[in-house]
Amino acid sequence: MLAKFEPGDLMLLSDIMDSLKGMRDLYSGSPVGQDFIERTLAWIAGQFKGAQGGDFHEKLSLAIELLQKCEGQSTDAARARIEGEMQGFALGNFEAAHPGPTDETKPIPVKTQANAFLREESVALFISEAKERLSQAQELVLILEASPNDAGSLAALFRAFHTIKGECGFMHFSHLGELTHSLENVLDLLRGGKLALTRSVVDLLLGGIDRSHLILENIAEGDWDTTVGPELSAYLVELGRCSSRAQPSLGDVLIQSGKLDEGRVEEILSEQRSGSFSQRFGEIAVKEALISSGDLRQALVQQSMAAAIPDSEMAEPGAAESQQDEIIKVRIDKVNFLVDMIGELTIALGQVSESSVAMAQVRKITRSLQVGAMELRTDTMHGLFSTAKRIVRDLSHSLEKQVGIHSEGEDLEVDRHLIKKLEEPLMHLVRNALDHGIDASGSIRIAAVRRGSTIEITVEDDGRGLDREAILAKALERSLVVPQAAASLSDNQVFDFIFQPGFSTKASATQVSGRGVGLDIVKSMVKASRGTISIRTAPGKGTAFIMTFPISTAIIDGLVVKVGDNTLIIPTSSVVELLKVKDSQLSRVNGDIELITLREKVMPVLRLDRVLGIGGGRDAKYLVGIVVENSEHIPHFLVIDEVVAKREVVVKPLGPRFRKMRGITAGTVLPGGTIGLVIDVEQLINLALQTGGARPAQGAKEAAWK
Amino acid sequence: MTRRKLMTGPRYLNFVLDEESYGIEIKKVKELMGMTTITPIPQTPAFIRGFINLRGQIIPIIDLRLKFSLEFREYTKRTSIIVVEVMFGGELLLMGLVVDAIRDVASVPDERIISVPYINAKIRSEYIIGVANLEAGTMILLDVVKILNQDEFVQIKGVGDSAPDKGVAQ
Repeated sequence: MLAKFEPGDLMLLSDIMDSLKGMRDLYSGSPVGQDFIERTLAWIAGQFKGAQGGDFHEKLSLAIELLQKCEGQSTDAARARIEGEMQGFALGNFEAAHPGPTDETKPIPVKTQANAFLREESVALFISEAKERLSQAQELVLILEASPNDAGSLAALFRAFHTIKGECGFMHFSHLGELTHSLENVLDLLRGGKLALTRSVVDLLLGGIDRSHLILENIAEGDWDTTVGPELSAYLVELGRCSSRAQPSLGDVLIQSGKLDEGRVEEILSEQRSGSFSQRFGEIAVKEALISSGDLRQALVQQSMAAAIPDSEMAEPGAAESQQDEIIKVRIDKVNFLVDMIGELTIALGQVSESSVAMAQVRKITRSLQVGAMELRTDTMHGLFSTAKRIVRDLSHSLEKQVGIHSEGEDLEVDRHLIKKLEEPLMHLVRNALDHGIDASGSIRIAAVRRGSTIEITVEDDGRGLDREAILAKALERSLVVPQAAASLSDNQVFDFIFQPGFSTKASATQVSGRGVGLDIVKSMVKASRGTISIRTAPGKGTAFIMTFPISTAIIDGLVVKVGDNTLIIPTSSVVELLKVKDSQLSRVNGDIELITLREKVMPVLRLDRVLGIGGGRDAKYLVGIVVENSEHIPHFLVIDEVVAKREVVVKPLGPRFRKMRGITAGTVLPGGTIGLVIDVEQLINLALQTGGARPAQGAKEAAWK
Repeated sequence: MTRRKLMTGPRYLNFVLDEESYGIEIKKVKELMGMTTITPIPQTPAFIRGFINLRGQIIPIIDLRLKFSLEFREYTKRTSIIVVEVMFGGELLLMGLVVDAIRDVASVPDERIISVPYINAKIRSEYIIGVANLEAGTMILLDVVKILNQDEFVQIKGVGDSAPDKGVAQ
């Protein structure tokens, strides 16, 4: 590139700068190299502004040559020598040619030189990438635990840690770097077949992932130089021992030979940990008289023999290497901006009345743009499901149950927001299934499937199922149902009791799921995300909890209606028909509840202005009404002033401060920039029932409510 | 040539409310705008005037007079909206504050801020950071985050109480 350079060719010069910047990232292992590139860049930038001196070309090629030389060195000593040369070169050439703050200050580490804002930006990027890699790593560890010979996964796992380590080096996060480096050592041994992937090694790896998460959290909170607590150093010691031994832990050997059970091993390990690893495992075991010294000697021999695993046991590297899709990172606000702007484009197009072929084409393209943009915000279920698997793994060990888990539908693409909201209820249900659903052994199935405009998440166990009688007894005890009605309750009605706060049929509280607090929380979380939850159970066969959520609802088809000065949107999905009726068709019950009979169907009348407490409700000969249905398909007659149009609207959140609003769930920007409020018919009907909105209320007489 | 005295310290946006001078930290201010069409929102207290459309984003508008229980004043040409960004429950939110008029931006060094328990009877003292004593006069510094995060934004009448609506007009 440089060869083509002519003075004044600024385009090419900026290309060179870009390549240098790219190279800087490669020099993660060499701060001096990075520093050198920084200086070169600063110098070039200086040249940018002024006229390039005659020796510009020469100097730059020398600098690049130096970098190439450094790249080529394999030993640290040789590299150090080149790095020395670099520093000298930089001082001699760049600093003189580029008078600036770098002149007075001695070699500045990249860390402090970097613009604080840029640094913050790159830290955020680093954290999000590292987190993603860690969750990927966790998935891989769990895969490896199930099939230890999967060399492809092992290689991918190694790569994940290696990348994090590399980035840590560049970002100067030494503690996380050290941690991932130690993990990498362990993985290297696994890869070379020098270490067997025992349960304790898996524990160690997972522990490392957890600790990395913790450090990342600290970094995110601005604690960039996370101090190494005693806990972390103990862990690092453990890791180091694991990799230096390159053999199964003594505990594992003793378990295998039947000398100790897992519980004892845990006890010894915790004692060892509390003493900061001052004593060896065997010493404690013998001292506590858990094993004889003869047993210990025998086990130690076994241990060293087990260290060498024949290479043939390691499977050939699979095709996993090539599985990685090409992925680029984009900040979510950029995506949101794109989605918003495409939404705006749709709206703007709605205002164009022209109907030429060209316009039709534009509309079509916009539509696909919109769909494409929406998909940018989606993610797969992999991360979520791997967390669930991890929970099952850890919990089944601690509960001493044999529980397997398998998942379906990990590849389903779901809106990120929804995935975030899914996490808590899903984990709750999984824990619940493990603790209450399954007795000693069994399996859990988690599945995600898309059904139309909803996504269904199932958590199913093959345990004993729900006990109708026990639940009913408890419900009676807590007076949730009168005895006379108890027998006539349907199964579903009975099972619904377990969603009551504090409801538990378990006599004693367990550590895991607590005392029955939980399912009510799950239900409220699901509801908050506009989802529903149902139960399917059979005695002796198991229980399934099925959560259903609306898939990304950013664009809906709605009727734009007017009530007074207010513009409201009613989703067409809940609209049955549109009617004009005479006032005389209404009848009143109890003096204030209005009903209407349409084709021999009696339905309650809801005046939208009164239910919401907004102005409107004009006097007219005719009432304009929309027949809407709630989820139980009960029709209601919704009185409005007029229907303006039927159109697709881009739904915008009203923000967390307005989540408690009832009957209104979102807003939208209509053509002309006015705002319409999006009605949730189900909530609206419930609100009317609670507030007596079917009665004429004070709102009717107010021109505006404020 | 006049030498401008360099004032260090956080900068505050100076605005007027009921003939008094107030300031909020400029860091929290996203933009300033004149009055625009406000879409009213049901189920909210009076100080929430409604939503506006800020380049495709829907943001709530809070009338600071009403928030501080001052008398409502019809909006004029000088009435302005200060769009602020505050954290709520881990999310960054944009909100618009209606004030009588916007003045300027002033640097307020920490040593100029006096914390006085009761500054004026109009505003709850917990909303006030302190009073800044500047050459141009005094300015009451407000804690935007506290003002905007304390009260519930949604009030649903009739839910939870079975008593009939007061003042039913029929």
